[in-house]
Amino acid sequence: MPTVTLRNIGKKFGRVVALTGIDLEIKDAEYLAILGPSGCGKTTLINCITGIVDISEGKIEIDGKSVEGIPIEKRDFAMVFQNIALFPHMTVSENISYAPYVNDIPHVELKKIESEMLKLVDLLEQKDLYPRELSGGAQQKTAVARALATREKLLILDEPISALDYKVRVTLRYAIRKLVKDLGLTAIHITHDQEEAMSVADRIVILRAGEIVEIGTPQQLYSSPQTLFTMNFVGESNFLEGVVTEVVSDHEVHVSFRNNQSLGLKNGDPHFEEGESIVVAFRPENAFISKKSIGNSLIGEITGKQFIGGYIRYTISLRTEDEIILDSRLDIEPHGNIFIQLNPQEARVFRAPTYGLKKVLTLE
Amino acid sequence: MNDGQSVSSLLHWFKERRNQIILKTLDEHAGKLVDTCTASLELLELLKSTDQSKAEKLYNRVSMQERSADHFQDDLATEIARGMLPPEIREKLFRLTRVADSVANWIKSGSKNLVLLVKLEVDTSEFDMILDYLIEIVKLTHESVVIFRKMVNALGTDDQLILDTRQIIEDREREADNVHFSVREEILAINDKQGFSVHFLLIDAAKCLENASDSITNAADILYTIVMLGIPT
Repeated sequence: MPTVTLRNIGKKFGRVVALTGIDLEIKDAEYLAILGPSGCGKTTLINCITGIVDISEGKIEIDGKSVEGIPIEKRDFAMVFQNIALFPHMTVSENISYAPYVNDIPHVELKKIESEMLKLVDLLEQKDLYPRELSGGAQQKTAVARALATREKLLILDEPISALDYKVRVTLRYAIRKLVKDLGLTAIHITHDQEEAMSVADRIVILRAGEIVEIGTPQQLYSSPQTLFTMNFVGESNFLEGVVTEVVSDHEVHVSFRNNQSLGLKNGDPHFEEGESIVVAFRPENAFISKKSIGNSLIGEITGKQFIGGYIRYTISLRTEDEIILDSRLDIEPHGNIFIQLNPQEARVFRAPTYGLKKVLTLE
Repeated sequence: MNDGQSVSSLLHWFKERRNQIILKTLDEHAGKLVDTCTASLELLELLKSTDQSKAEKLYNRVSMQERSADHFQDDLATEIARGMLPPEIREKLFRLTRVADSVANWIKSGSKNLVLLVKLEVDTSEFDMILDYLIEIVKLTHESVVIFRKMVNALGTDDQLILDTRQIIEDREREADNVHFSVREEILAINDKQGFSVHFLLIDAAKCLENASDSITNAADILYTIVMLGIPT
């Protein structure tokens, strides 16, 4: 099975820097998602790996061998595109067996591959239909089967399900992951949808403005992100700017906010100093709301209440002059003051970014 | 369904949404101006003490808040340009954000002058009287910015509040002006042994901080004229 190694990859289009300093190792049989906002360089990165565009600097190795100078058709990968790109004049079967056909695979073997792939993507009953007669989901399944029929062990999926409707996307993403894992392939999946990346990938690479921000498992990126950008981009978060007023111990700090509001927090960087500007970030589900006064809490007022289903989403205007969203199962009357206690294990404290919080959280 | 009606209500919805974003960003920008003043006040208080080791760190906080205000100003420029507003109001809003943002710029410049004194190894605690005057100017500006933020929040909902509170900001500016001239006298009375650079930095710091007070008054005036022009609904 292939491993893909990227060493200090850079790509420039004239003066525009599309990628810079990309170091990444994609392990054997790993399902890796590359996640980032539109324009962050995801597709350029894939184009570099596949050889569609030349890299400006660095080195790409597949199975330990440099791919420099190797043309696209000899790089041994299969690809699925966002725009599906099936041959409109061919049936599902013909589309799937196209790669074995042009590779002069004997007819018996070709039919075997075709039938195997049709079974794999559950399209046996639609094998004689043309792409225009298929739903979007079935078309993309055909595209996946066509890619798998090449028998390559490296599968590259460029926003494969982004153009489909939500329900089909959810079904198809699990189907693709199952296929990849059952066949033991190495997969690189590009997406701008964090929910999609979290549900399919073993590891996620967060890309922003042509640079890797963070790499980790879905759980690591959601529960303990190392950067404010990841905290904002993966899942929902609240951010409160404050100042460290006291360093109690290596992992405990007291923080003050606007209007004399303060909190003691445990999940701090060991190197915080008194007087340092920080940002407290927490997920909407990681705080406790109470009508009664509780210690170590922030005071606020409910300004919005939305029943979501399993929980209620509250919009809260804090006395710190910040607005936050919180999810709770408790049904709380929106009148009067409420007290918000952060889960000390889950709230994260970051150093305030020099160029301002807004700049760091900006997606573009 | 009447198609013409649904298209017009959809346009109305977009217009409303866009204007809400502008108002929210104006509020957040004003919030950052308040934070810049708060951080500057802390720095000035520190300079009165004999331990000035944290002056640079406190100045960085002022600088960070000023930069944050800049980002909101950039966003405002984009949002106002996108908003479906009459040209006259749009231009006034552009001017409002530029003028309001200069509050943070002046506060930062004034604070930087004072931190330069620490870098020159001048014991600023000797100038506690001057620093008290400067603190007074920043406090007045801080109060004005807080009122300005309330005015921004009242935009489109409580025109009378905007018309009434603008005078309060003007009164504070006049007071800051008086304090500014008092502090200039104090600075000029400093012993000549301190050197030209100390005089220069203190005079310039006082001027910058007073300019911040002028800027917030100008911003309140622009807000006032926007209300007088009448915001289209």
